[in-house]
Amino acid sequence: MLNNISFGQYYPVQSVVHRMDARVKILLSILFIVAVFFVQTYLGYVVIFLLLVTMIAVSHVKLKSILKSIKGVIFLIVFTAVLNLIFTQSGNTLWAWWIFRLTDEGVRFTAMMALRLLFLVMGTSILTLTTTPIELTDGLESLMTPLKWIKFPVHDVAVIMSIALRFIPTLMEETDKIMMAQKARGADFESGNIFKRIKALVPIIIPLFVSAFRRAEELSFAMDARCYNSSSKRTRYRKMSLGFRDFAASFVVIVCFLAVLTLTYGWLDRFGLVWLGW
Amino acid sequence: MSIVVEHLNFTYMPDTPYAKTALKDINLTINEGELFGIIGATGSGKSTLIQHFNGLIKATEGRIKVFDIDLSVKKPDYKRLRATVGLVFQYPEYQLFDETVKADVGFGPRNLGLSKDEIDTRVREAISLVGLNYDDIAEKSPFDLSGGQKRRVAIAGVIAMQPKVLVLDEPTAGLDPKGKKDILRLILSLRKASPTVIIISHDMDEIAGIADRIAVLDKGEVKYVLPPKELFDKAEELSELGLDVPETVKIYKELKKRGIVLPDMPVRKSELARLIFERFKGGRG
Amino acid sequence: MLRMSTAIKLDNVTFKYDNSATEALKGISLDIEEGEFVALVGSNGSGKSTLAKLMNGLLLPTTGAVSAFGVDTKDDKSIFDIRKSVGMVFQNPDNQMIATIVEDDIAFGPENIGVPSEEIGRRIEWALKSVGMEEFRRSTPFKLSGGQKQRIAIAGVLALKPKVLVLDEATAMLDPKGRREVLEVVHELNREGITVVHITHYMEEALSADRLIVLSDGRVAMDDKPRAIFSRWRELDAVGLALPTVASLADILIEGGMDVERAMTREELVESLCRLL
Repeated sequence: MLNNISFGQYYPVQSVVHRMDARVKILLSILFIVAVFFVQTYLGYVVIFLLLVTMIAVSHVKLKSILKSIKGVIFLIVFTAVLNLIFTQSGNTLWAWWIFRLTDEGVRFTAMMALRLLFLVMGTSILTLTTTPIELTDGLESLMTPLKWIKFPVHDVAVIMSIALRFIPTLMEETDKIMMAQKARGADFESGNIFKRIKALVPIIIPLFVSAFRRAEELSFAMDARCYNSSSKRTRYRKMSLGFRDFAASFVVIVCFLAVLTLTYGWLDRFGLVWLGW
Repeated sequence: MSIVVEHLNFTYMPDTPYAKTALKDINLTINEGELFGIIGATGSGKSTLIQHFNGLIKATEGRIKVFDIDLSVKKPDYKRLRATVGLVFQYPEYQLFDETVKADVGFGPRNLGLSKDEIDTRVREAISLVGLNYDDIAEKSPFDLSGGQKRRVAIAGVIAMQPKVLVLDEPTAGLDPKGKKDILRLILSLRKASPTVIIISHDMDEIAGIADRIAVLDKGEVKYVLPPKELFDKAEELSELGLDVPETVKIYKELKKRGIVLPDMPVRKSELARLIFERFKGGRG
Repeated sequence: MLRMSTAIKLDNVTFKYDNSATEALKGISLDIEEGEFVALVGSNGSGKSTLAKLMNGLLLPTTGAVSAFGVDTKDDKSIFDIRKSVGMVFQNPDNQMIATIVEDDIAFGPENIGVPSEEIGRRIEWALKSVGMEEFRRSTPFKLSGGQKQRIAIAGVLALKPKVLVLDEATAMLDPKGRREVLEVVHELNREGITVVHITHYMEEALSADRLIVLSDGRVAMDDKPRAIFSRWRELDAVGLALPTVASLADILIEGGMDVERAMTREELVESLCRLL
């Protein structure tokens, strides 16, 4: 029952994007997100859209998977869109009914905002669809390396992330089992008001916590037995190396990012290229 | 009164590309008062099957009737069902949660909406039925108990519902030999209050000695439903399914192959010893 | 020709947990020789799991000393060397794996001790082959059976190239098929020279060991060849253990006056019975 949740899961297929260095993908994703926040002009949106479409095509990921990731946030997007439509009062009225007033500014603003959310979700899902959890944690660990200088436990955090990912399906299965066991004793998780339902979760949460602590203790023995330590003598099995594709992708994304900034801040005016920034 | 299963089918996530048929056309009748064993390799569907008996899982097709409760109607009486069929999961001690043993064992009765006095009585009874001393243990935290005690408390939690049918999924899992013997003895002693018992087990030796009939599951299908002795005649078929026969049966068959035919196929060690002694004395005569 | 040196030595070891009133181990002295296959049995509460964790320094003795290949486990600086030579697999198949892919989990050990990347790759391949799980190199642990998970756990330990493999009740949570898989692997490893300490409460698993140590209430109750110990079933019963079916049956028949051999396997018993009947 709980197995259907997909965390923008890895889509195993061969593609340039799949083979890119995880660190580069993470950094470019961050750059992409920042660009989405900065975009203001129509042309800017087009640039981002084209970039997104190119990335999806190049990564050979099924469009269905991307759309699946939107499914999760579609409610949020629609909800905020409706709110924005209702409460944006500036600009010319397009349609009025009772106390509601839709303005052209409102529509424009809402459309832009909804698009941004969509771009955000789709862009980040490309990251998770083309990068395995272990590549992600390795990449993050590598990117966090400078933090070692301030004694931040980079490796420990990376191991924690890996363990968390590894145990997600196991813990979900255990939650299911505990729920079944308590249901067998007459527990009811469906009926009652909100307070009743929260109280009904106690017989699930406590055993889960107890079990989690027990697992943690057993895991720590097993890890110690395999010489776990955080010293710098450690090596890494998976090598991360930069290739041409990483530089090419970086070039493309950085150019798009600069283009968006340029368009947003009208830098082209300075160069007398006003006609580009409509 | 019995549990009747007719043409039961169960498919996980039907109508999706992930659909997986866990149970295929199961037909079974479990009689009141029987000790019914269910055996099968991991993944054969045993746990899935028993979760139908107390309504945790609803069949995709087919009919189940537990005593007079029909489970194929739109809204079966789950409340009455779960008071009739008590299900003890594998490693039941992992479901303990309450502050005291008394409170945890009382969870089931509380959910049944019984009066405080009735709950109290049932809790006392259940704890003593599992062989623990109420005064010693009632106010302790379930997490402070030993492994064996925890399992007993978990079982008490199910018995406190006073089910007519007790279903146990691998009740001896993870226990040492003494622990296994103790739990089996406990289960047999519980038959007075819950006459119908269904046990899932991996251990042929364990279940052979106590079951009236055994159902063998393989890849979601029922292959055999037979009393132990008749079942063990099919040793080759069982081994093809990845299952074993008890050691005593193996010895019996080996002897038979070598020309020494004992008059009866023994399931218990004591039986086999007796037959060998008789043969020994008889042969010398 | 095996070098018969002492792999693990326990010298008058006692151990008491902090939150306990009684000692879990009350004075254990043992020598485990290299190449041996030792079965350590005891009922729950006999102290066997505690004993296991003392062998690689996960726990340190309250009094007495534990050493592996001559190195004391109390020696902080050498603890990784000890854990490299004494590998350990635990009871719960799930709670030993830390990575989302088998390959990465097996790499964990070698990564920790600084093995270069290419060598890690070779070790992963070799370890998986030794436990018969090569085709699962890129699988996710969640989808494996108990027996498969334990074999991966063993592979993860093998990747450190240990000389001793301690199995802390590693078969207790497995179904019969899983137990067989694990035992086959472990016996094969022993044949290749790895010292095995197999801690279990299944007497059947002790049958194929070179040496059987029976633990009871924190002390060594018996220490001998399995056959020799099985003839003392009354003592076993007293410490909460039971003989495997065949040996028990043989004992019943002998007590009843039949001149049956003290068989440990079914074949032996049947052979002996055929001669008598």
